[in-house]
Amino acid sequence: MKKLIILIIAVVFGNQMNGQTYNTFEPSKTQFMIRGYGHTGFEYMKSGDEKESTFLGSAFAPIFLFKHSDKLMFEAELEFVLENNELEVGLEYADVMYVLNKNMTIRAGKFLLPFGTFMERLHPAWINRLPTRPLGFGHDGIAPSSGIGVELRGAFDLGGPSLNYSVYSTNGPRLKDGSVEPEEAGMLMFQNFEDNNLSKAIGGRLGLLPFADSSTEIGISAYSTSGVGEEDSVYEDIGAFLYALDFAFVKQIPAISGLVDIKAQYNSSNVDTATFIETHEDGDEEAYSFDNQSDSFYGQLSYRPTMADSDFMKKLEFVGRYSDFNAPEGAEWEEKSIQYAFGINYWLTWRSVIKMSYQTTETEGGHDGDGITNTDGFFLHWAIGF
Amino acid sequence: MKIIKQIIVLGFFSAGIIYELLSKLFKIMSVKTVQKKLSIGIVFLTIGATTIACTSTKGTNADDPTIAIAEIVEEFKIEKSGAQMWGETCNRCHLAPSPADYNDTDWETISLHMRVRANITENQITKIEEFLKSAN
Repeated sequence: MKKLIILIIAVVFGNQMNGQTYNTFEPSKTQFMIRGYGHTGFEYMKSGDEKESTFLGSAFAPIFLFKHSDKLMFEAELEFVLENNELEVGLEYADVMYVLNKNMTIRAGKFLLPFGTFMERLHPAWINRLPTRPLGFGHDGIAPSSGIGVELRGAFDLGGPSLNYSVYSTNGPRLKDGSVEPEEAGMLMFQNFEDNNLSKAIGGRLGLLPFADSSTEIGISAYSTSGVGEEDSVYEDIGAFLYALDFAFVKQIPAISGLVDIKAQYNSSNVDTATFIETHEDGDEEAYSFDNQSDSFYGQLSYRPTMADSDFMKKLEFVGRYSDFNAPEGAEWEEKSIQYAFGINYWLTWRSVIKMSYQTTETEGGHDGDGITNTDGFFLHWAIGF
Repeated sequence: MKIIKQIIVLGFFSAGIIYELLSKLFKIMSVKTVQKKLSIGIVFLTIGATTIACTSTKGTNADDPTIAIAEIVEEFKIEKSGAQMWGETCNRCHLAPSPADYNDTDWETISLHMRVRANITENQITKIEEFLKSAN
């Protein structure tokens, strides 16, 4: 009985002490949060006589934010995608950042590159106004999306206008020399996790918002490296220089009762000329080279009638996009493509959207052959940010 | 004075970049030469930005009340509310978020993340965060 009383007293007082401890516990300075986005949908594609349609498995991209203090943070994004009947997992970025002062932050690790704005700011499914990326971005694209290295970035108030900058150094791209995929000889591969040479890429972006209402931004980016080839190979000293120009205009215009959003970006890639080997079907080898210059462009206009009387209309968005891509003449991957895309979006909330779009692409050359290929697509996607 | 310093440094960098691009566009130089000159341009920017960022002008202004008052008046003139900045800045990429969707602690984390991701000025993100925390 005595032991039971002692036990009860211990439990009661223990709970009270625990409660008191909890109540006086101050919020932790360490904050952990999971954000991210996901999307799913349906696609119908028609290319020449070939037709295909498929429901898309969900893509899931969790973002982990670990705020250690007001200045120190770790961020990482994973990407889970069902592709080719397999689950593919990618590390979009994983970096640690520290705010040095009000105008400068340092980042190190794998981070999204500020080469233009599309890949760094606009590509997530719940932000991108169309279900697809413009030509020139993504797989076989010419614009680098991420890199492993170190970066300084920040922004300045200019008394109304503002200016932001970024400078970085990364492992840089590696050159596909055609030994593995002959049809891609001369392409740059930006997934260079372990550097293949001693040369590092350097780059930066300068963005100017000339008006006090932040409606307009003009940006210029550059990315350069003196070596993209394998160390001690004939391609060791092949250099590359890329640049991008970007423009954004987002403003509520009462005269048309809505919000206009214009985005545009031009990318240019210039790689030093190199000689590659083509193996013919009879086994003969032939050396060839070409002027390795590519470029791409996209311009997008969207309109949301945010000042409409109807709640339904307020949630609608109309979007159109033009994009083109030119790969080098003489390369195995020579291509000229033009794409038009049109869509209607319905915003369920500020971070959840249903996108319906039609897209038509005319491709001359490319992986599909030498002739002209027309590809039409219908897309119905549902994207959500969280 | 601070703005003049910023403009000078940015002018240096912008001139370097524009020169590089024009050089490339007109195909006057080889890729390797451009690479070297770009390196110099980026070094200029890094040094310039570091110098500005690490230079405090508080002491100077504190000694001269006229300048300090002029700056306060100037800031008062262009002062915008956090709500206005929230509408303008967030909408540049995505729809402006609802303040009610996250608590104060979450907004602190998100604000630091977005400050770096979208390269937003300290003044803007501070005011936006204050607005989001006051309105949720």
